[in-house]
Amino acid sequence: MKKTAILFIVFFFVTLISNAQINLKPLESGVGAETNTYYKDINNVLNGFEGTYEYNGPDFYFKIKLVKTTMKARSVYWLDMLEGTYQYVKNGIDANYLNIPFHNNNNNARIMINRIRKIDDGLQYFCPNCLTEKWIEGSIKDYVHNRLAILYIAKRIVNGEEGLQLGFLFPLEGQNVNDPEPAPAHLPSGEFFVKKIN
Amino acid sequence: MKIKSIKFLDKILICVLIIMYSCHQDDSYYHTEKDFSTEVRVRKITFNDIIYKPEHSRVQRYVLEFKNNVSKIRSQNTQGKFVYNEDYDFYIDEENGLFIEKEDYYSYTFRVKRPQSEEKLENVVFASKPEGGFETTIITYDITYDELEQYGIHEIQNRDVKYYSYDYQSREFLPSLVCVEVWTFQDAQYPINEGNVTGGPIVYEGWSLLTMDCTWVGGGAGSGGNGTSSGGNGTSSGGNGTSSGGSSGGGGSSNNSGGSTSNNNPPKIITTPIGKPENSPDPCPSLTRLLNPDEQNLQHYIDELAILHQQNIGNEVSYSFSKEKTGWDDENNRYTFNNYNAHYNIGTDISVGITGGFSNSGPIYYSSIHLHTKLHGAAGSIFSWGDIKYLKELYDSLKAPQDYVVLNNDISTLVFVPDPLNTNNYNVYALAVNNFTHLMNEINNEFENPKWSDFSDERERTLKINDYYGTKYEENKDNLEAYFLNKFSNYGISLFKLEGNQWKKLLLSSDGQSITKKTCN
Repeated sequence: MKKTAILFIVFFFVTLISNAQINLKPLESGVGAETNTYYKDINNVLNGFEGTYEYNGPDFYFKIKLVKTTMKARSVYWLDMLEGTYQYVKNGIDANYLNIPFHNNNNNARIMINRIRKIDDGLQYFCPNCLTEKWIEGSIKDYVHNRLAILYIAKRIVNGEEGLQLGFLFPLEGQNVNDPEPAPAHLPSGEFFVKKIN
Repeated sequence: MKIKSIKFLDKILICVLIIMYSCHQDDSYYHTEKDFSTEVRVRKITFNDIIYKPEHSRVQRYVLEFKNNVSKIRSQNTQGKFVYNEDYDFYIDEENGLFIEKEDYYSYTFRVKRPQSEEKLENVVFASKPEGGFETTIITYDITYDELEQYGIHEIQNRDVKYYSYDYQSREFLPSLVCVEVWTFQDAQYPINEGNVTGGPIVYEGWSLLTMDCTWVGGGAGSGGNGTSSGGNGTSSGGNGTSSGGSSGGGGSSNNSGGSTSNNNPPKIITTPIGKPENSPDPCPSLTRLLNPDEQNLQHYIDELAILHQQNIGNEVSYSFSKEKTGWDDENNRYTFNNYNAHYNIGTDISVGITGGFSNSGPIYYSSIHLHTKLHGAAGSIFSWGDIKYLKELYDSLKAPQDYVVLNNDISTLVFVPDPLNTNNYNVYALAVNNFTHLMNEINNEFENPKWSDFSDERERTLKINDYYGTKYEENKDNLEAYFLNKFSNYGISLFKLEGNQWKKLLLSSDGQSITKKTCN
């Protein structure tokens, strides 16, 4: 009994100290990258985007898988986020990372989502036909030609089928006139709908 | 049309040439006048030029060693392990130096800034010695930048000037006897960073000597006074004698004007005071020229972007501005250009970016405007951190000296952004460099911040930093311009906003919470 009491007291103080050291902030307020801070998806917004989705059209095939990770450790902080991977097939090039672990050699996931956006924060410009719910933003890597795109995601229903509207935005980069122009991105640009398959 | 910045620089470049002759070998002094107007070459220089250009290899060791020693001194002071001349806890404006060449003589002058002192004019000079090597001297002018602007460069004559000779072995500032000649430069029409004083298209009226005096330079921490020189070798502190025939380069001090002439070709230090405001590029003339319908015709591209903005374009687009050198305009003392063009890029899978840079055989891409889409929301309602980083890279690739075709104040980046409070409206901002060293340091500091260490890929890291600041922009969207100026106040950049058909420089008010606007004339 005495031993249990001691263990309880120790556990209590460890918990107290741990809580005292980590600041908890809502992910929806943005990741400020502050030391010893946990940016938590308090309202579980990210959960609603988890799953596997695909687009199978005449121009290309795209499949995306999104999984929520909680308390992901970063250099000086933690956060909840969606991590993901994808398969993109176009012009005979099959960029398929679905069966490769998200993380290898300390690389980050190919898809990282940790920004939750409000309904009135530009959703009407991105996807006026999407569900009026919070939407999300992150990044997606193009390994074929080493590019990086901003990835916008909002929930949408098309012909009664649940899915996501994806938007790819490639930020402009500085290009010195004397250097050879980098290869264009392999990933698609613009927006398209992926239906949920799993 | 005269360039306003040039006229402003003109004030400071009514230069005083201070020629200090070390007179260690005998007690004889001389007072004579020389005319260097056809012999002296003055060019702008940076630390990077010294480090990377072979023609300056002779001074590399001295500059780098001095810089490192200063850094160590600062570090040691911070740790409290080594008490040493706290007054010398300074940093150097590595970007806006002047290189002076006269026959076999060379000097390199840079502005010195102390972190917690009033803004007094202070320079460090690396000057070649006839026997080889370089002599390093700190020159402290007892005049603030405000006073300099108010009274003019000639006011230096009425002020105290202190000289500190730096000894590389002891890392101390030791006493030495110097003779000082004060030279003024008459009616400089074009800034020194525009090329050589002699030769080329630059027209200078010429140098003229004001006074020459000799003085003992005090050594030691901060004393630096100028005492009476009696051929002795003691350190004087603080004493400031009067100078016959006018004070010497300020200096006052013990003078022994007149008399004998030098016959041993003593080592010389030639320098010109470098003041901060006068050396800050003024982008206003160039930004205004961007609007000229006969030149870059910026409004046309803004109108194009406004259409895309109203169409809710989902990708960033840019127009990169270029021009080609055609000749020299004697009347206005600047290169002339034609073939003003704009290269269109859209950030899709077709092309990648904003073109910038300099090519000897082709157009010069010196500025650009790009559009942030409404998708960014308030996070995209002003320059992203990556945009600032881009400006640094553009400036680095274009900055003078590079045949001086592109002036530093020509280099800018513009952005077309949704208004943070009503994204259907838009704003146009311009960003220019006023201190490249600061910009480079701050960009590097942020990029290397350990909190971004999880992102080894440059693009990924830049995007994450953009996200970070984007979040802050959203939080401060009610007062975004002030937030931006506050946040990047140490970045050595200037922010301008286009209102109507006029550029306005945005400045942070003294309260740090609001902005004031200064119209570009």
